[in-house]
Amino acid sequence: MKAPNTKEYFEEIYANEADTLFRYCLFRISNRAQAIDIVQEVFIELWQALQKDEDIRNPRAFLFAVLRNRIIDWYRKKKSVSLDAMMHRREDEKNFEPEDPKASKDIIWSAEVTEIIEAINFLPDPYREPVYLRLIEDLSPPEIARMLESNANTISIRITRGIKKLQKYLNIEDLV
Amino acid sequence: MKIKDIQNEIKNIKLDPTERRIILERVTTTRVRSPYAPIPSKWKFTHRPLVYTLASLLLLVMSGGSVTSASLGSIPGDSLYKFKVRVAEPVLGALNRSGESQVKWQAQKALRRLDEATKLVERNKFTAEHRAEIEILFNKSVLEFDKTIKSEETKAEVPKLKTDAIRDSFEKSLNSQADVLKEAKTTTDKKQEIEITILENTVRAKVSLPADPTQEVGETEEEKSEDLLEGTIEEGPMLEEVSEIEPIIEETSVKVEIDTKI
Repeated sequence: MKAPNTKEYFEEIYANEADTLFRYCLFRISNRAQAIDIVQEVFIELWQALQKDEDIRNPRAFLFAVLRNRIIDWYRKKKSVSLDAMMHRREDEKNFEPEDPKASKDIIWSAEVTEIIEAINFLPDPYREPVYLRLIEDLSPPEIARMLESNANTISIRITRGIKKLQKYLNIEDLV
Repeated sequence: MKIKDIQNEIKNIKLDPTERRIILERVTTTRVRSPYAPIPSKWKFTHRPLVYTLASLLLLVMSGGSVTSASLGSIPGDSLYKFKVRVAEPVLGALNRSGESQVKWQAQKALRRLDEATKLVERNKFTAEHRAEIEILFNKSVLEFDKTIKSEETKAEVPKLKTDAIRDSFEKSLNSQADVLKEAKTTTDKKQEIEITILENTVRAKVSLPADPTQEVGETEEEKSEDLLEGTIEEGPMLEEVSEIEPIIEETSVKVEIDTKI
């Protein structure tokens, strides 16, 4: 393992994790340009932490935690913008309509993939990430547990329950 | 479809090599400030940005501004483009002292990027690399615009109506630029069309106003006809034209009366 806080060490992490983070971000916000911005911000945080000699034992968990916070910020910002727009709505704007959340979708997936992605996004919070990482990124429960800084048993239970819920939503019996 | 197929389809979605390279470059060139570093005085002579600004200004004066003016018309791929975005524009930006002029400058920079994209499309040179470069600079300008306008809004002496007007005007310009890009797609090849769509989506994502201009202005038929009348009278028609216009005025007035009754 290369010494932390070197550029090579950072580049190695970047090479391994950039696509996974980008995909997850895209899966949550469905907007390519915004996903790129968020991923960039996430890596800037890691870079700055490494430059300040912070002790980051699990960079993947660090990146994922920052990414989740950034996505939450993005949703908050988006919500406040829509509310502002509605508050400043003028009386003469008869045709005003709230922003269509699907309008900014610029990724075209097949119908099956769209269906499964929407179903995973519909899962309650504790199940969504473990199920996504298990089904889509094909990670093992211990790997997911390390990433989400949780217990492997808890994650296994969440995956099992999450997949059951998913099968119920999708009305299929053998998803895995 | 099996879960393996779904995994494969989703895993095909990746950052393209240019995007990967640009993100890495931007991240690793981010300046990291030590938490223990002293806060630099803005009056200190060796304050770096001030030195850079003065040196650049001196350079611009010495070169008679010819390089700057030549670079301002450059587009991505031109030899002077890097000079334009890294030197000329920051120096011009530093000349804007007030918050309002800074906000307007950020908006102008963002619109310049879209104008450059349109020029590249016209020249059939709008590649993924140029699109990514423009996108990053555009996002940066919009972010700076947002930050500056938010800080302006917190100032008690700046009326909210003023900042709202600037924001509205900027968003309308972005919408128009996005429409221009959309229009450009109809006359270009498939490869450029994809890049234009990505940039267009980026632009639309920054706008909270409706894209359709007919929804923006709630102008009624009555207002339109009033505008028509006002415009006609202000322009001051020649005597011989009055006879041609009068029936139109009468007809419009009758229509307005009927509309009002309805």
